[in-house]
Amino acid sequence: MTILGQRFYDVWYVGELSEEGVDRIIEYLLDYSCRAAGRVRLRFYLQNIGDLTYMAYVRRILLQNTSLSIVIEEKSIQDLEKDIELAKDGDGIVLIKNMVGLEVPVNEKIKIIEV
Amino acid sequence: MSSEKIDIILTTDRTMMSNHHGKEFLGFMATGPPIGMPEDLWMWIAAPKMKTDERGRPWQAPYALRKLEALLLDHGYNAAVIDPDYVDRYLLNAKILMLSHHDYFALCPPSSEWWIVTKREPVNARSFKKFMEKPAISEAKKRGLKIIVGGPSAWQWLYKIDLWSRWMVDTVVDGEGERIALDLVERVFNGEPLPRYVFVGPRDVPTIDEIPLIKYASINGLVEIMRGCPRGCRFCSVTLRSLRHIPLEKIEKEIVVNVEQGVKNGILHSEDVLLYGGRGLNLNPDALIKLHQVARKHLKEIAWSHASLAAIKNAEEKYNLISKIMEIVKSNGVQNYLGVEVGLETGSPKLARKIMPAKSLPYSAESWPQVVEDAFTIMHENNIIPAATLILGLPEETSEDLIQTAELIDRLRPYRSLIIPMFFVPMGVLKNKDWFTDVKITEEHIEVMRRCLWHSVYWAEDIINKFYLNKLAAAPLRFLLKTFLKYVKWKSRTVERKLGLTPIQAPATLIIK
Repeated sequence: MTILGQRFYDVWYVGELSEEGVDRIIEYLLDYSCRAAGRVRLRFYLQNIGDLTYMAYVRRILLQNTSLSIVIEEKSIQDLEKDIELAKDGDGIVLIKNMVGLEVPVNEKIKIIEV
Repeated sequence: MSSEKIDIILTTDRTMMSNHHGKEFLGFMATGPPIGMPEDLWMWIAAPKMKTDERGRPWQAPYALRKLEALLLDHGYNAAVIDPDYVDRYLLNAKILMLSHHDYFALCPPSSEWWIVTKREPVNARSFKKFMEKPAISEAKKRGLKIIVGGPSAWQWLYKIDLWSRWMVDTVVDGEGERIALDLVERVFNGEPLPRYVFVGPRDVPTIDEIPLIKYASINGLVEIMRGCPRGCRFCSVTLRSLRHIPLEKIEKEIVVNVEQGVKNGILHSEDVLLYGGRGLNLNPDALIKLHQVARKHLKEIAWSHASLAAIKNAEEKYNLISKIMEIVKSNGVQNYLGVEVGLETGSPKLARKIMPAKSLPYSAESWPQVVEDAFTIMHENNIIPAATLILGLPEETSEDLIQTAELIDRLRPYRSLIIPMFFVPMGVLKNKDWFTDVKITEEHIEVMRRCLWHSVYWAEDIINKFYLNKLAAAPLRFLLKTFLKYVKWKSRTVERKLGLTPIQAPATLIIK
C-alpha cells in the first residue's frame, strides 16, 4: 500500500504566505483531522519554484499537526488556471488566495477563501 | 572509478555509518564537539570508519537504511547502502540519494545540550555538513539527482531552510518510511515531480507485513522487536504511532542475518523492551523469556535499546522476570552485564503526572521517584547498566520540580549508572511548544546538570574497567576514555571553583549482592 495514491483533502494556496494565511490553513487542518481520510495535500503556487522561504511559515502548520498525513507540494503560479480547469467534481478543493489582482476563474468545484 | 551503476544510493555521514568499535554507547560521543583532544582522535573514538567491501558497501549500516534497502530490493529496484567515503563513485549515474540521520543538525538531545554548554558545534552536525558539501553531490544535482532525506530528525530541516535550499534537497520525509518511500521512488522513475515535504500520519504507518526484513547487517546487530509505544508521554513522537510487535520468527531471521555476516552481538530495539508481546502495558513473561532464549541462542552479547523503569520494577516484583532474563543472558558464560537506555525524565511527581501520566504505570505518577529508585536497585543487583536520560526545560517546569530531580539524583548515587540531562526538544504532542533554548538556564538547571555530571563520572570508570571495555583488545580505547574522564573531572572542578560552587558530595554506598 502506498500513500500518495490515497484520498487527500486538497488545500491550495496562492500568493504570499502570511500569518493570517497560515491561520486559515490550520483551521482547515483542524476540520480535516476529524474526518475519515486523514490526509491533506497542501499545494503552494509560487512565483519561483524552489524558493523555500514559504517553508518558514509552513513550519507552524506542521508543528500543529500530529494526526494527519500531510503532503506539501509546490507548483508554478502559471499552472493554477489549468489546475482549476482540471479539478474534478467532488474534489472539494479549498483555494486560499492572498494576491491582489489575481483573477481566479469561478469554478463551483473550488471554494475560494480570500486572505 | 567504478563503472557499476546504482540507481538509489542510501547513505549517511560518518557519525552514523560507524559501529563505534562495537560499543553502541560510544556513539554518544559523536553528539558532542571534541573535548580535550583533536577532532580526528575524537572521531576515531566516537565513529571509526566502517569496514566495507570493494564496492564501498559497509559491513554494518544503520538499521533504518537497511530496512529501506530491503524494501527497495524487494520491489526490484537497484538500490544499495553505500559508505559515505564511496558515494562519489556512484553519484554520476545515480537517480536518487536517500539520507537518514538521528540528528542532522545537532538540534536533538544530547547534541543540543553539548552545543549550549560548550558553545561549539557537535561533530555529528559538522560531519553531516562536510558530507553534504561534497562537490560530487552538487554536480550530480545539476545532472538531475534527486535527494530525499528522512529519519527521526527529519523535522530539523524545517529549522534549516537555508541549508535545505543550498543543498537542493528535493523531499523531506518525517515519519515511518516504508509506504512513502515506494511512492517517491516511483515518481522519480516516472519523471514526476516530488512533493517538498511529507509527514506520515498514524494511519499511514506500515503493517507488520509491510515491514521488510533486513538483508545485510545492521549497526551492532540492532533488530527491531516493536514499533510505537503505548505510554503516551507528551514529549515523545514515537507514541504518536500505533504499537506493533514484530513476530519472534521475524526477529530471529534478522538476528541470523547479522550473525551470518559476522555481527555476533545484538541490540533488541524497542521503546520499552519489557512490553514485548504484552497487551498494552501488561507484561507477557512467556514472550519475553522466549525472546531472550532466541537471542541467547544466536548472539554472543545481548543489549536492550530502551526499557521503562516502571516495567523493570513491575517485571521483577510481579514475576521475578528481570532475574530470570538475566539468568538467560548470563547463561553463555561470556556476558556478565546488559546495557540499556532508560527515561528518568524528572524527579517531580507533579511534572510526571502532567507530561507522562502513563510512564509510571502500573504504579501511580505520584510514586514516580520511588519507581525510579526501585528500578535502579533492581538493575544494579542484576548487572543491568542503565544510561538514564532526564529532561530539562519541560513546559510548566518549576524550581521545585528541579529541586526534586536533584534530590532524586542524589538518592541514585549508589547505583551503577550514567545519568544524562537533556534539554527539552518539542516533539510528540508538545512539538508546538517553545524551544527550551529560548529559555534561560537557571541555577536549578545547573545544579541538576552538575549532579548528573558527578554521578556519571563517578560510575563511568567502574563501568569502563569492569564491564564495558574490560577486554585486553580494548586497552587503547580504555586508556583514551580514562584520560578523557580525568580531563572532564579537572575541567569541571576548575569551572566550579571559578563559579564559586561547592563540590557535590552525595553518599555513594555501594550495594553489592
